[in-house]
Amino acid sequence: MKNLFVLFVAAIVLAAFSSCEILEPGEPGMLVPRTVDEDPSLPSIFVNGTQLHAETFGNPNSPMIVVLHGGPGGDYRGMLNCSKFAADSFFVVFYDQRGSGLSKRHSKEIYSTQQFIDDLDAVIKYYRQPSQKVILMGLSWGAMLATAYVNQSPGEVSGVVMMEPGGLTWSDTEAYTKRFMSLELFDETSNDFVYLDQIVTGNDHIVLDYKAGIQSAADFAKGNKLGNPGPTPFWRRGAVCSAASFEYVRTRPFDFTTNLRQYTTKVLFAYSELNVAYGKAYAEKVSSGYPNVQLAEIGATGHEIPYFGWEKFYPIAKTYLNTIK
Amino acid sequence: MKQITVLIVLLMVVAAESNSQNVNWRSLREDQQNIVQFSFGYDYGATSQLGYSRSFTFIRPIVFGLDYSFPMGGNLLDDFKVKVGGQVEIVAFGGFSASAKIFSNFRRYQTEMVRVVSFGSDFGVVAGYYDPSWYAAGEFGFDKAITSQLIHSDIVRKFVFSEIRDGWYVPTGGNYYYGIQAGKTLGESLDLSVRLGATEAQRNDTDAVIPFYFQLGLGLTF
Repeated sequence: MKNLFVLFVAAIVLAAFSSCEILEPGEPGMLVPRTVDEDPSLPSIFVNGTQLHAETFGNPNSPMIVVLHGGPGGDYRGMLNCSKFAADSFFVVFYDQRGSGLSKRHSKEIYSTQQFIDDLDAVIKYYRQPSQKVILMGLSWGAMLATAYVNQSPGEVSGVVMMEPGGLTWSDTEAYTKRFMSLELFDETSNDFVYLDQIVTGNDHIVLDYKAGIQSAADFAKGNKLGNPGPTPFWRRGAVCSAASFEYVRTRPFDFTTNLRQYTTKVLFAYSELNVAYGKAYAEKVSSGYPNVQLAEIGATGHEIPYFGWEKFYPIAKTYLNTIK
Repeated sequence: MKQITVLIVLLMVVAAESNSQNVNWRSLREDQQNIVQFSFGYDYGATSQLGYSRSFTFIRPIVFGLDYSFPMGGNLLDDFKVKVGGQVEIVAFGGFSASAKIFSNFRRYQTEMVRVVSFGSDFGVVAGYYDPSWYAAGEFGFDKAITSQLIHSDIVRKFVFSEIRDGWYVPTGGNYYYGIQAGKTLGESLDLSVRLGATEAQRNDTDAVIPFYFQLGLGLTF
């Protein structure tokens, strides 16, 4: 009887271990999706020495809207509502910025503010037909990148739609960042964010991107200052891109307003009602870098305006875009 | 501000010897082999900790125990760490002492995106000067998450990656830690202690967001 019991226990233990598949966190396609250089089935373009995940909607000869996602390190999945502008006779271009989303990964040394501007320039040149109008539409960091481009090449852009750029100078951006993502000692979200550090560490893109994705639960946690009511879709965080970009600007702060006065075309500047770290006063301050601004509050939404606030954002943006067409 | 000060003082009073790791080898007594410990501090989050350990001698002095710690927040049950193990004094020369500690870790972590259970180990050495009424020592160790089961929520499958693989991943992480610890024995059965230091992720891994730890503690022996 005793031997039977031992055999029974041994069988259970054996069965438990044999059914337990051991997985390798760094293996592609397990914890995060593959990038364009790993999965040829994904739409991509080769520009400026990298391979970017990119897709387009609409007639290539129509005025072009280039959609710029947030981050650095985010991706355009949460902005795909903007593809609906194709039905309004625009050619809409989406791309995941270098090292973000499903675009190719690079080592941290490659990232600089100018690199992002050069990549955007290369994307525009890749798709642009002769004399085709170009409109930049950016969310958060994407709106900052749009401004950086306009500041450098004001003659190349026919219109700009911005949604809550963090700031147009590093000092404004840094202060805004601290307002919405400060760690608080007794807060569940803050402790969830840092507690993971003792369980998951890594030095490769897969593990770091996965970890950043898990930590992004803070963006939609209950009581988040950004005003997001729930999760926003994304493909894959660009952890190295994000960390390296912030590291870069801490030592080389930017000012994207130095040449903005030359850009007299009206720009649309949207901010959300529910992002408590932003608000009208800050929107007025940030947008004052532009000489000709249409300021618009998007009601009943938080920072992720194209996802949660689309119904209210769309008619305002469409009206603005039609004035440029 | 006054409330914060009162809170800090209270926490210091109830706080404890951390991880069964702050042991004063010279204040251990055969008639007081049981130690109950409370602590509060920062250890990958603002954490509180409760532990029990028992001291005995088997060739060398040993303290063996178990402790439970959890981070602060609205839900105090979803994340925690349980450590089981012991510390043995290897070398004693006058007041100077060196000890080794070996712990087995079990961690649980849960957010709206993932539920993790993780098994790991914590090996370390502690060396310093020990007086019956106080001690000061340095410590160095390695805390490894050997295997972790990652179970992802529907939010991840719907909003991030529908083909994400749940399962046991090996390994998932590791951090070195180094710092100092010090303590003061009060009366017959109380030990106040402090532990602080830095962490550094293994190999070239990216360091923790806040790569430091700090714990205040109170141990009650009986």
